[in-house]
Amino acid sequence: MNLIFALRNLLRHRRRTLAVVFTVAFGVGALFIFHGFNTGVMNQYRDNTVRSRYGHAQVNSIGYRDQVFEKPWEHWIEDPDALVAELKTLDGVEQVFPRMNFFALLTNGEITVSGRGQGVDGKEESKFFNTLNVEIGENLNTQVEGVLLGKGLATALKAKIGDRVTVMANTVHGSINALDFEVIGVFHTGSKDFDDVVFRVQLPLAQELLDTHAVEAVSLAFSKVEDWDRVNHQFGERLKEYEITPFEVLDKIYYKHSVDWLQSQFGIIQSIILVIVFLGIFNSISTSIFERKQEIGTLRANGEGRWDVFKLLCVEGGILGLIGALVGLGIGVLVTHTLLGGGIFMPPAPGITRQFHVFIELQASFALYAFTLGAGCALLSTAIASLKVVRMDIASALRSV
Amino acid sequence: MSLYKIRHLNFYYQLGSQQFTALNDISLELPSKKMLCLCGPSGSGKSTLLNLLGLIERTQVGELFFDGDVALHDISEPDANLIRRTDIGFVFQSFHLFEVLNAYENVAYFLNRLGLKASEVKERVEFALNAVAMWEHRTKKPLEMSGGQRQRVAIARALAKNPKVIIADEPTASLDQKTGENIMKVFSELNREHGLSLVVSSHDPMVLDYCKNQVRLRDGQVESVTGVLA
Repeated sequence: MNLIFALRNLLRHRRRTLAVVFTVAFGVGALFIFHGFNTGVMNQYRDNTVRSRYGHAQVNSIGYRDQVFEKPWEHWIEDPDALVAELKTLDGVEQVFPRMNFFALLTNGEITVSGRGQGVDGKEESKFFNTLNVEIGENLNTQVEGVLLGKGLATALKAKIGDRVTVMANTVHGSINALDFEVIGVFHTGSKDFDDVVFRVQLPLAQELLDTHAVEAVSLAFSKVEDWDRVNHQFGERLKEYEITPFEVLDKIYYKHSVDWLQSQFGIIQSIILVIVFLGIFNSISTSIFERKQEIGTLRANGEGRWDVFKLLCVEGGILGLIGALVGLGIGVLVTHTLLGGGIFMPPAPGITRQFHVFIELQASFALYAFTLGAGCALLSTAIASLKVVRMDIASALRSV
Repeated sequence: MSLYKIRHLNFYYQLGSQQFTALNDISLELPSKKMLCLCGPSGSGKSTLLNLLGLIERTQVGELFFDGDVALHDISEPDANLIRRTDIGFVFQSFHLFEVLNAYENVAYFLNRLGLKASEVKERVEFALNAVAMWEHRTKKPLEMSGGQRQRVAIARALAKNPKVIIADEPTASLDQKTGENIMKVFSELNREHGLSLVVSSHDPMVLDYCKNQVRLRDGQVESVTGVLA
């Protein structure tokens, strides 16, 4: 009977009830979509980091990343083939990319520019590192003598596709060595600092250039991002002479800080939305409750306790909150798949130079969170609005108009 | 047995910084199973006394006993709620029915809150609505009824609780003369046929014609009593 009474009370002022429902729905929908947008942006950042530079994780000799060495190659991985074979057996690891970084001078005709070389397995890496954004030419794949230049570096060298570029570097023994490469493409990752100096060549030629069989690191591609814990656990048990580092740590300045910044921003906007929803509901519900003082007086005169009346009003607010939150989630899903179905074209994020598309990625777990927040906000504002009326003495409530 | 025993009852309203005396040293004994009327001009204190009898206002000074020895002047809020829920029925000047419920549901609402079985609720509602000749209109909502019909439903709501007393504050004040008279006939029948105790406040001469047991108040004091109260 109490529930029927509560439901009918809600239908008594349909316009006001709708206003409250849509206030809650607006808040929940906005939170849901905004969180989906944030997730989309963070996933874009993550993909950019993972698929243009680091993979999901990187393996080095223990302590290699902790300090700067005079002769870093002395701390490189001496038997990369055995390590690669072992890494491929880890559950969750899909691909393995042995790599090395080295400093070199690049010469194109009369222009010489310093750069940072990456020796990579071109054929394997081209399958995974697909956000490298090869602007001109083609990605490094099976071309034995090919070199892929960062956009800024190519501009500095005035290099065109097909040009022969000489790469000169110190061998691990201290002598000077040089090899010729053919420019096959120009890439940009969006990070200017990276694109201005980095070039890529095949790993065997890089090893020949530096006169070593070692590799500096082995990057890993997982089946999915969430595999980190699983891989890390197996790695710790089986490969104790190496250390593994996740991409968030490898790219702390760009990715981790961006994610932290976005999450803080989201927290602030979430608070603002909740305050707006709270005040909107509080205003509507207060008006509604104050108009019902005589009815509340009648309930109290007939033996209903303050707590009974408080519960009745909260049931009404709770019902509004539940309906509003459900409508809000529905609106969130609808808008995401219609108006925002094509994604949102975003300007370059801090630290990168290219624009990107963000798709709203709604999260089921956050749906529950937004639903609870919206419904809870409605319940809380109803409870606060009800307190004053519930505290009134019966005679005053009955006398009110 | 006395329905109410009132001993040196005083009541004050605080109006801003001033204290207004609404009741001044009232002492009375009201018998049960009678129809009693508190009468007097506006501001005489009859509504205040009625509110105290119905536990709508709490006693400030004096003693008030209900149904023999229940000390209403010294009762906890939960106990006061319980007495209002089970022992006292209210009829108000402006009906105070729930707009969203029909006549049947209005009467049944507080019975359901008592935790009665559905069959007993139905039985009591049917009896109460029949007693005020409103059973045929049981599906109507308050806004679909005349003032007289609404007051009958309000009486049925009070009656259905099977209370020890029905307290009616100016029950005819919002009704025309003929309808008001019909309501008083209903009260008289309930008192005569079911032995129901009634305490009515009014300054309407028609009401006083139906109610020979009167307490006349003036300026918060008992001016005179008539009938069994004399």
